[in-house]
Amino acid sequence: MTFNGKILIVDDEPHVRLYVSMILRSLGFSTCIEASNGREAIECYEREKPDLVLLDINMPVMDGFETLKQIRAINHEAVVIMLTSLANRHSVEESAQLGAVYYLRKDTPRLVIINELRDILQSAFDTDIPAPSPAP
Amino acid sequence: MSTSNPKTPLANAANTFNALHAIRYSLPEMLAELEMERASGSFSQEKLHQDEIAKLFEHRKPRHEQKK
Repeated sequence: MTFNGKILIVDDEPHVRLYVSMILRSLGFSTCIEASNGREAIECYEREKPDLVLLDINMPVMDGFETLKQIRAINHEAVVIMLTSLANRHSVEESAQLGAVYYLRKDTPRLVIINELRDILQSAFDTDIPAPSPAP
Repeated sequence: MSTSNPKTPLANAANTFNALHAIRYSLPEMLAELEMERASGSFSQEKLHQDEIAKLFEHRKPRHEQKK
């Protein structure tokens, strides 16, 4: 798979989208597309064909599970990471079953999120992602 | 006068055998019950730490390939 550096952030809370896009910018990704619910995410996915999707679960209009299902139906190789405040076993297992490559709790320390994202992107796309620049 | 005791060891064994046959479940029923229990019980609501989540996703995460 070729990596184009395009990442879709799906979350209904604007401050979470801002936080995640700041993390991604620190990794050198400037092309962050944002969606505030599942339906918007599907439209963005079809239009932009991002390399990676960071997906919340609890959202209005369409939740993260249904969104994940539809994205995987569009592209069976889609790289989707769940980024959510839910941490119950059912949500984690359901996400794995539906094809998410990883699951991050929102309360995970910033540095851990950065390292996990780097690791997944480097492995999935066989590309080198430089270490993040220091936080402003 | 002699009376026969129905609770002989042989009768007990036969009763146990019948009881075992009476409570037999089919595999699909048991699996469906297990799935329902996993989805609705306290087990499914157990909060997982990031480390435990990482273990569950160990085989799903893309892996580094050796560069040639």
